[in-house]
Amino acid sequence: MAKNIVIRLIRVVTLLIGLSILTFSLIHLSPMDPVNAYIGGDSSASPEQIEKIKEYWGVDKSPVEQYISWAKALLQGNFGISKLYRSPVIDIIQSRFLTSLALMGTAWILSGVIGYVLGMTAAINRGKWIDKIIKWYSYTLVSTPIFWMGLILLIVFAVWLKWFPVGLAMPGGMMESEVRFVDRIHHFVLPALTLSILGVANVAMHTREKMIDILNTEYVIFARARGESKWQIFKNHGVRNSIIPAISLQFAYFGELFGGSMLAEQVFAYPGLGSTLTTAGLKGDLPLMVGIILISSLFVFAGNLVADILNKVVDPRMKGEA
Amino acid sequence: MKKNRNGISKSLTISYLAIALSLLILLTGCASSSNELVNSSRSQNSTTVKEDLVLAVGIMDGGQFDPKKGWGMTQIRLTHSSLLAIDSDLNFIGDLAKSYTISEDALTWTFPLREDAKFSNGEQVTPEDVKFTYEMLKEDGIKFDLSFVKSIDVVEDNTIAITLNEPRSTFVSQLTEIGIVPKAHYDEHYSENPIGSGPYQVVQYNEGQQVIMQYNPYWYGKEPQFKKLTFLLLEEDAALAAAKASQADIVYVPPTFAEQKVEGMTLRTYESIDSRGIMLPAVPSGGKGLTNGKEVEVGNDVTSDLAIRQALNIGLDRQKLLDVALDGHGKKAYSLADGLPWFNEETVIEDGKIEAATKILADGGWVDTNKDGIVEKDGLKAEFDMYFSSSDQLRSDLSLAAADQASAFGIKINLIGVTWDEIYLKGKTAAVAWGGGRHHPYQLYTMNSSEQIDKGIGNMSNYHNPKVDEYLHQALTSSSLEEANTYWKLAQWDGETGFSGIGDAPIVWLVRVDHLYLANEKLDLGKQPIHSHGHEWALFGNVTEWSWGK
Repeated sequence: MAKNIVIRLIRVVTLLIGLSILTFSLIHLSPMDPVNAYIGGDSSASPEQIEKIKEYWGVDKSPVEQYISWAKALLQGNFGISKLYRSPVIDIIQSRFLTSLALMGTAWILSGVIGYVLGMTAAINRGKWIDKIIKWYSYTLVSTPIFWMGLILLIVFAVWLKWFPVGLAMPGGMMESEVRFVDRIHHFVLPALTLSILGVANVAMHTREKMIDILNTEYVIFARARGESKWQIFKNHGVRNSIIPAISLQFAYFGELFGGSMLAEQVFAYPGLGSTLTTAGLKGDLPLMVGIILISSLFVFAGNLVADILNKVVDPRMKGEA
Repeated sequence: MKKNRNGISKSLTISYLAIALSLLILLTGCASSSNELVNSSRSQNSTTVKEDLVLAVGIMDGGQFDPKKGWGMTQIRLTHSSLLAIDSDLNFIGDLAKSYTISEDALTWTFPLREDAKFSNGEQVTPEDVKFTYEMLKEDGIKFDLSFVKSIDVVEDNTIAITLNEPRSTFVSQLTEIGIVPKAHYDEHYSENPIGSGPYQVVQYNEGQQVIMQYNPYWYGKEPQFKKLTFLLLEEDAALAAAKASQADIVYVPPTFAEQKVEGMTLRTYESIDSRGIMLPAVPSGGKGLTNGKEVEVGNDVTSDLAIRQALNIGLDRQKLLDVALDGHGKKAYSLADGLPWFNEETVIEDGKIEAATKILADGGWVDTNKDGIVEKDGLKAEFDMYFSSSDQLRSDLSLAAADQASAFGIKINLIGVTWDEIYLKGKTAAVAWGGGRHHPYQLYTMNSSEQIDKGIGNMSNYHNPKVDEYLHQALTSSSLEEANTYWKLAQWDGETGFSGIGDAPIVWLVRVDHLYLANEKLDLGKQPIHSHGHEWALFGNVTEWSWGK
């Protein structure tokens, strides 16, 4: 176990180094010019002033030099200064990450629980109308792009029914000190829902397949022959055997969750990490972009790690496998 | 995973989703009482005088209320005051300065300041604050070019004098765009708590979400009816959704959304000087140059021929372009200054003349000898690339329509949609869908003076005409605005030459975009001046005149 963890740690460090090098190279290769993005299309900046900006940002140096000075600073815990917001990258990430985390966390739990319940229900009632509805529902959702789903929710619940606001994380025009928890929830529902809905389908369909496999095993047939009810079969044999794939799927889903969160945040103008990454990317804010990429890959990595560890804890048979 | 979406109609999906989702919401128990709260703030206007407005007029990422970071142009009217301002008839009037005088040699500008100007924290605006602001921006030199300013001095107790290295008639426009910041409170964290002397003060800024502004009780001007402004920082689509959900009083709309009907809101159309045209390289290929400090290739053999540029100017039908690309929400443009005091009326022509265009081409040696529909000259086909920003719907529509029309008189334009970064790299070798338009003539200089070649992106054409340079220089260094305007007009067309469409036409200007807003029908936005380039903020110049009718 300890050896495993050490290997994992080495893996994550190399992953982060690789990712940062890749990001630096891609940005260097793209026609994107942070100086252009900063001074805009209508500046009277003279060549001397442009030189000054380049010097200020260090973009006059070669990409390798830039990378090394960035990496040196990072080793001292300094993520650099965002060019767009002119404030420390780490501060921006901190404030945005919390918002995103709440969004993703809620969506993650909701989609996991509801997906699992739906999958179970479908499997136990295989072939009946409820199974058909759940299946149809899941297939439809799985083939739905997340931003489209967001827009539908926006049109139905915000524009037509006016139950929810069209965007932002707090009521427009309200001072921060007056914003109540319930207001935040109110603004939170639609993006969180958008994000949850798609995750539901995935978990539901996988759980359904797994449960059907379980129901077809000999021990379940034997149990049924002994006269165990549906509930007893589910309780005694179903949960333990089907929860593992559901859980590992849920943790491995972190990556998709992050990608989905980016789109949902964009649709609902929800100020999280995803929408910040989009802005940073479009405006060529390298330090901010690399910072977010590193943090989010750590996040995805952590998800996969937890999935592995949980698997081993829940299922003793998996111990010893690397 | 298997996919199955055949046979499911969209409406069924929506209604089914609606039911399923409402169930989900009930499960999570979130449909709470805060609806009333949002609604109550929206419905109180029937009983009391409405004092707050919710606006969704675009994203405000840049600037952050700090002139050093780019807070300037039109948006400063809300939070900052400047030495001068522009009224709705485009006259330069005093703001912080009571008036201004220019010395005989046009080198010294003197501004007696008003005594009653205070910052939103109650402190007096002093000449030292003005001096500090200008010196700080001159030193920084990125967002405002003040390199021609020699010194800024406080003379007498409440008067400031700015001395220039050389006369500069366009300095007057910068005086309207530079917001004064308090010397005592300005540092790198100024954005977090900006203090200005405008009619409003920023009370809350949630990055990426909203800006809340409240009336500045120390404001020296006319007290506005609206004491609180909330700006929702939403993209166009989301802004329209906010309007439809009656969560905003004003939203800005692109022409493609102009036909959208929103209950209780009316479409407001404002004429603008926000112009679009085609920038054409004026020199033959093979050269090298700079764009924003990067070395790029320069020149195009086809567009550097004057006949090609003039044929486009007279051959393209501006009214049809307006109808196709803007649904008619705009005006024809013949220059970067149509209708403004420095516009030369002689450059207005009858356009859409295919025969005239063909004749200009034939006179210039361009004839279609091999009958392929494209004219040639010395074996060179009249064919060139044209770049447009692919994220800009208007520019791509306009480019398509223009290319289509140009083929009627034998010019083939190949359209390439890319990002601005790529346009800056390749733009000096090909045509570009260009834009601009200000309340002052400085862009006439930056886009057409040979002194601006290789500086920034102003003169992308690498256009050079000694006569025009002379007029531009005279306009720039004039000591009075009237004199300057005379030279601005001569630079466009002096009867023989000029940079306008009937002259050298380095940029063929085509249309001016109307600025469109959906605003609550009860809201009166006062007398709006002709708007400038930069859709989002043009509206606020007269914010203190806005009122809410019953």
